[in-house]
Amino acid sequence: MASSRMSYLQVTPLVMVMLLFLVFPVLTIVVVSFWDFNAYSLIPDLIWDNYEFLLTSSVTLKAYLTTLFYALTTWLITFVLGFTVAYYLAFHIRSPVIQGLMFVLCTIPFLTSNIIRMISWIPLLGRNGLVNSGLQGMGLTSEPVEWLLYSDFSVILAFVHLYTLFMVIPVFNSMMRIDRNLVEAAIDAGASTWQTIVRIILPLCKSGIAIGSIFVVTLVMGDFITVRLMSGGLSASVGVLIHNEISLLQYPAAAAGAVVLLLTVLLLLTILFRFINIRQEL
Amino acid sequence: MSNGSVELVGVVKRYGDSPAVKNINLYIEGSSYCCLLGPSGCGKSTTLRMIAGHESVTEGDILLSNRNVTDLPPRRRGTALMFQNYALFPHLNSLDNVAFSLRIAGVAPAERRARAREMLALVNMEDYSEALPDQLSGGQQQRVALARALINQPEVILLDEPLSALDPFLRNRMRTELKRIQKQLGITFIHVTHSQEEAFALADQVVVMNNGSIEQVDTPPALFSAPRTAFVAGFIGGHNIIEGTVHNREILVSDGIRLPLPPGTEAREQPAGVSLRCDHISIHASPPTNTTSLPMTITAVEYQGRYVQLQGDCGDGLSLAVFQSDQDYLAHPSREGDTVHVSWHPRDLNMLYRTPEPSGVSPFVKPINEKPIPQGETHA
Repeated sequence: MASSRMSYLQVTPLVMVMLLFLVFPVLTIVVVSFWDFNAYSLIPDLIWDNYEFLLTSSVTLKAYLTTLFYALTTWLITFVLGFTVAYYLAFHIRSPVIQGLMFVLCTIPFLTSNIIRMISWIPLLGRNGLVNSGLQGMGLTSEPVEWLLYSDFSVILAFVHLYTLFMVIPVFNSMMRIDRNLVEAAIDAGASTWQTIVRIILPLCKSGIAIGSIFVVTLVMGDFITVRLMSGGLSASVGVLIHNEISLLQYPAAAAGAVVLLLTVLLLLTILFRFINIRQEL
Repeated sequence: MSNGSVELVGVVKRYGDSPAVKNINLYIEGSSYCCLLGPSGCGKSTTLRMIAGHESVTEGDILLSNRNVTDLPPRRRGTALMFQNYALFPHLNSLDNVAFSLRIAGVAPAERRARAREMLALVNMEDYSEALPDQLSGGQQQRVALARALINQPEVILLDEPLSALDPFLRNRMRTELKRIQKQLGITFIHVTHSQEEAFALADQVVVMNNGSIEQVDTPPALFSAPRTAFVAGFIGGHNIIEGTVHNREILVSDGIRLPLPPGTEAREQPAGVSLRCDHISIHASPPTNTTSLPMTITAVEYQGRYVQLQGDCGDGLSLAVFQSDQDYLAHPSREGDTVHVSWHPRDLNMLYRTPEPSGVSPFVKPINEKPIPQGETHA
């Protein structure tokens, strides 16, 4: 009996932190999402108007489609990139020292803030930026390429830049756990490098890929600053919509948006967990 | 001709400047069971991996059934490697593990399943075809690994310390199983081990390696009765190694001790000493009249069940280990500090040399009959 009381005591700090910083804010948002509001005040209430407006608006649908498009494209690119980088690090670099060094090298962009890293793309991709002047200088194009900046391209580019490492780390981690003898066993069975990757390494990295995917998908789904900055306000993700509502002090509407987004992301994760047993990795 | 013979000709493996395997010449007869025996780091695993094609050969050639396979990828050699920790694919069940190479080769699902089932039946694992490796015991995993190695009908199976991960009881059972399967299929087995017991139990031909070179190649009985170097005698155990110089059919151990050598032992080179089997020494309470003997003061007595190991000091720096049979010991128990008399037949003294058999003999000379492979022809 005493020992079980001790265990409860031991988990108390974590439970308090979770209650205070996760459960309480989420509950607040859920409660506020049912409130009424006007231009200058919030009115405690229990109405479905916020949700009704949100779920019937074509703007919402468009924002969700844009967000899902960003999430999917970013996921695909970060997965291919992340898997390749992790594979190279895990299977081609033999010396653990160089492996560690290269890993640190991967994290160097994280020494500066997100925003700065995003903004630094602007002089590069802008109308008179480095890329455009370079292309024109080489005579490849006669006028500036317009879609480089303030477009879906630039948004996804920034996402990939920001989040690839979140895919590399968990995938690398699960690759390092793969017994090297398995690769040799596959080669012994006549498998080519490609067959070894597809049949052995990929299935054994499934949980790492799942964790990386969770990071990337949730980060992209919840993002608003990258979309605003890199699309120049031309496209709107769900995050941007919520942000706009907050700046207009329409907190209940924003809260309803947040709840729906939260449910969407949870749904996506449920689907992901269906495929992969995450406990294996933890 | 596909006879499953394996031949190593002047094979050298260097990592940078340090040699891991130094100029090995070896002939392994087809359909035989060969054990590479040696301490860790002696180059036995590297040799095996070179035969398998997972390690490149720095110099020399590897022939398989008289084909030069030195530069072929593993799968095209006709070998199959069984890994020390089995290396079963954790995400595939037994059946798919066994059928993996067929899947790679593009064999239709129905056929590859049928063939994999056949292989699982051969190793008595047909009831576990749906089980994942995690759900199998060590011995069962080993059987699946063996089935996986066998499915492509290789000419040679290479086993890298296959029994070392098993508990002693299971080890003995799997040992019998390995031998049964080797006999049944008539495939060449090359088995790397550091256990002389395992090598003796399984092998038709034992290759003792040390420091990247072959020390001796022989049948187990020949190896045990006549180890060639002090290393071999020490590694296989059960031998006393007595250093000394040979002079006039006697070995001079020290000023006080000269041991007569058997007639007819004409040394080709100056021996480094002799080995004497611990179980070929008799213990007497008083000096025997019909043979020469040495007094020995017993320093340690260890009861081992089947025999008792007596450690004794004969003076002049000569100490001997004696295996006395359980019955003899119980009839006349000796205690630490007792002085007894030890004797043996001169023919039990086996000459030890400083170097392995010289490798001047052409490695291409192959045995022509069923006799155990003569030592001189296969030596490195």
